[in-house]
Amino acid sequence: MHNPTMTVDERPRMEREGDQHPSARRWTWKNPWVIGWISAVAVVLGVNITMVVLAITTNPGLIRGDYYERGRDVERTIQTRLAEGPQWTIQIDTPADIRAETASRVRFAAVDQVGQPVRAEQVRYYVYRPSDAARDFSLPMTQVGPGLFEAQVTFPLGGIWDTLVSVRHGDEEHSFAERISVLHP
Amino acid sequence: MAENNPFPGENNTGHFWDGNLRELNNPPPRWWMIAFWVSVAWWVLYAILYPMWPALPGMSDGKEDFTPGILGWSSIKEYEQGMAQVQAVRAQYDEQIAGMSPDQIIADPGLLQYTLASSKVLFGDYCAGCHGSGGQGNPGYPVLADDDWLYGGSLGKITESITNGRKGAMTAHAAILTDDEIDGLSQFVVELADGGGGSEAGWALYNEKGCNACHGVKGDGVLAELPNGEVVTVGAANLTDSIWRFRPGGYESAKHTIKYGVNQPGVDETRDAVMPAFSNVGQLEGKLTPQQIKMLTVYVHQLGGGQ
Repeated sequence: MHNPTMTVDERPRMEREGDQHPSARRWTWKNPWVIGWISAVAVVLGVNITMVVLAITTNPGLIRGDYYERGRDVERTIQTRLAEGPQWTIQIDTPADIRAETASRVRFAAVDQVGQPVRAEQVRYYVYRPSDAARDFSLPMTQVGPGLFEAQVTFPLGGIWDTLVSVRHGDEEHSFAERISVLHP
Repeated sequence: MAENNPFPGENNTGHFWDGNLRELNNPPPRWWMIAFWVSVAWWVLYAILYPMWPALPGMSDGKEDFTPGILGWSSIKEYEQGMAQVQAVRAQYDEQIAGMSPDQIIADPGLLQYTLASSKVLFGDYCAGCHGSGGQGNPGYPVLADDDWLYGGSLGKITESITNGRKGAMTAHAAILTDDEIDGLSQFVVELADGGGGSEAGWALYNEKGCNACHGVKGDGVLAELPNGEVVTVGAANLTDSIWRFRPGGYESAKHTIKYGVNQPGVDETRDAVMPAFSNVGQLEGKLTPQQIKMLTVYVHQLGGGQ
């Protein structure tokens, strides 16, 4: 049936496909270059997908939707706070040797503009982890003397924490912030 | 199977693949077997020597709910022994301190070091609440980490303050003085604090109204100086330095103090300035022993730079 003088390309089309196609396909997938290239593409895509999934699932939630507007208003916010803030003298007393995983006492003292102790209905100590919103926590401060409040705090991790003492008195609420560095356990 | 075994005499299991690939029944290497049995022996020996098994119900004698092991070792015992060693070292120092006065402790560098290190915890528990974790004070509560003392900064005076506590007293002058007089005195006090020395009219008013009875003739809170260097005070503030007893200080603050006084019963706006007594003698539990007061005296004295 075959004409021995015909080359492969000269043979009739149907005949050529019938016996060439299966072996040609096998050969393609055995070629290390093809496998290598496909693997490289798969690795790149795989890493991209992993990074996107990680970025979504571990989002610390620290970016606000209205960050641009808030940034634009920052100066006005500072001025407003200064004007509206109570003319108090305050001190947040965080022990210098505060260490993670160890209970420490943090104290807050406040007097008004004539030096009289501040009477507050509720004082709360907020702690923010700048890099991870899931680590944020807060706890109440109890009054231990005139104008003197105390909380027993155990930081779970060493490093930088942003703390905020929030004092509620009637309808007013005043906050005092301090960034602290906690020693590693 | 054995009769069909194409590889007889080589101790194979009779499992073949692809004609000649076969599973042999060789023992593990000798070193491996030795290591295996040594580890088993170690485990048995450990169970005999050390605590290992939880006790069965009813087996525990109420103290230990595990098999104690014949050595009787436990990590808790080791910890307790360690603590006992620390206590023994401390007892040596504590015994020495018990027989010494605060100034003798300060004169001995080793004892001073020990006292300062061990009083840090005491200070944190009893003093830091009001005076701050480093003795830096709090708004409304006096600073200890300076050389400005209301009741004197000598060792004896500090011991006295811790033992018996202190309660400031100043008359409320709102009903005694006129508004102009209060205003004038407030301005005078601010002048003194700013280092101005005070006007002549201010000094005249100060003396006329009897402020010198407590704040001293020089306004520095000193009523008399004794030959041994001690000063006599009633706890009235030194008006001639820039340290304000009631922060933030300044005109409004001074005016408030003059008007409403300190610790005046029945006056709502009066200043609160009370330090409780910390001696456990004749007091409830949880106060300080004389030994602890002695050590804290040294600590507080050193906070003020030893002056």
